[in-house]
Amino acid sequence: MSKEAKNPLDSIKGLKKVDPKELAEFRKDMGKNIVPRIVEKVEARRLRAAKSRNRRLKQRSV
Amino acid sequence: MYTWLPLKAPADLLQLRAYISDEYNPEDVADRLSGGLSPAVKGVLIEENYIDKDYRSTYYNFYAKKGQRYAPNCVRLHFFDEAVRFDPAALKVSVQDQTDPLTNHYYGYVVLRPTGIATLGRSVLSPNVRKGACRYIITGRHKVHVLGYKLTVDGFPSMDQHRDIGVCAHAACWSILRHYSERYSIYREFLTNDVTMMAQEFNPGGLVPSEGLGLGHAERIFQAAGTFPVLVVREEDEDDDSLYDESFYRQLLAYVDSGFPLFAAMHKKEHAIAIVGYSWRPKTAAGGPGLRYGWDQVEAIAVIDDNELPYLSVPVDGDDPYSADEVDAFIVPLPEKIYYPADAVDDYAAGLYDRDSLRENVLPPLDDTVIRYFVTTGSAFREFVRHHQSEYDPTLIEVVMTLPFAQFVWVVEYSTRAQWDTNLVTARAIIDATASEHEEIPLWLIHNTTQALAFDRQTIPSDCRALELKDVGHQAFSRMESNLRTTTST
Repeated sequence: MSKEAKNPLDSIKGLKKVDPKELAEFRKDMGKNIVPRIVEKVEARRLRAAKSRNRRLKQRSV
Repeated sequence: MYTWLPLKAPADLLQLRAYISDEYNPEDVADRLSGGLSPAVKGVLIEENYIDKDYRSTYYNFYAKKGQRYAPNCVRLHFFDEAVRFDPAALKVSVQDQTDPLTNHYYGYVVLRPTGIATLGRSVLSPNVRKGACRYIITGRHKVHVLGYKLTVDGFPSMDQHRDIGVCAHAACWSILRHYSERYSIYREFLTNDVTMMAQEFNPGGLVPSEGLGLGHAERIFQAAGTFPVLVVREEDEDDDSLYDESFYRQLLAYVDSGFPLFAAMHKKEHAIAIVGYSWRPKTAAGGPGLRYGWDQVEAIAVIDDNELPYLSVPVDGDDPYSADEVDAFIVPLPEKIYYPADAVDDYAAGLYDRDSLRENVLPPLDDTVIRYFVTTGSAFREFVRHHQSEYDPTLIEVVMTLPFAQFVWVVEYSTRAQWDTNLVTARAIIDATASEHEEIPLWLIHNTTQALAFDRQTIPSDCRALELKDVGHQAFSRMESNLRTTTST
């Protein structure tokens, strides 16, 4: 998308642009503290899934 | 041939034994129905010589090849309420008030297979007539044709496993796929035998399917059916029995609360079920400081278990017939375009408390918060906001209607414990379900009653706008509960 592309929120009165520095800080905080935790958790879940695919399920009706 | 059996009480269903021949195992069928259906059922129409597509798929591929003779046709039982009458001479089913459509008094059907054992075949029953069913159930609308009437029932499909050519895991896969094909037009219908074949790269033949399925096979079935399955396995430590992977159960609830039925495994029992609903506890469960989650408030989950009638209520605390805690893996068959997984939402929702400005100005106090998260479509979220528009500042409504959501969004609701008990929320975050787990800000929107932050995700990095909200006379918002059906079972 070009830099001239219109932000859909521009047409709404009352919205104020958030200070880019504050937004960058938000991004940095989440990138440093939360995202690595998420990536590690998702990777651990995929590994557990890979190890579990051969487990059998076969209970008979009682 | 059609026979009408009027009922005064569920115990009268035991009379079915007198009307159904032995190959349908009437003793077992009558016992199960009389024990599991509510007194709301007041009449049963017994339809003989019913041609059932699912049974026929197994008949053509298996039963017809055996030395033992099996009938090709089934019996179908239709359940009605007290307003319905049957005229055997005219073969007419009618409602006393003739302006009232018959379908409003229909509770669904059960097909009986002529296999001697495990005879409960394809069934769709309304959860409203299942004794003790959970409050919230995933349902689809199923069309039924009988005696020239076109009826519908809202329910979730179920059947007994065949035992010889299919086990519990096949039955659970079939239930979920039949729900998908009835509820969403993009999925095709798969018959019982198709599901057995889909599990393998080749035709396993003979009785091999009765040896069971692995999670990988079930995943393969859902993939072949056109869904995008995600397998989630509980974290365990062989040396530490006390490890309780709460995040696993929070994710389980999040997907069910999103309207996605789960294929669930209990490996200690070598058993598979489908999870299709839940009930909240009457009041917020007591607990210490720190964040609480929707799962902490769940009293029971609703399951489709091929040993039982549908909508079996399985408690979180308790073991009758087993505990929800025994589920140690699940597969969620997702549609395309949900890339941001529940485990990412689980951490991100709590991680927002790390931001001082959000913790102090937007979110409820951490030690008094209950977090609930689920997927919905952007359009369903807009519809919900429109329906509750008096609770929202008009400018916030304009933002919700303007943000160019992708098809699916994650909704994260933050409530105080007191608000939880009255179905209210303090703040809400809307996360892009198409975001990558590597994104620092996957948000579309976060707001409470005083302020909102809206993110324009059409640029990289995304732009952000803030909005001070006007007081519209509401201290909190209604909880969004539109993915599942509310039942009236007692």
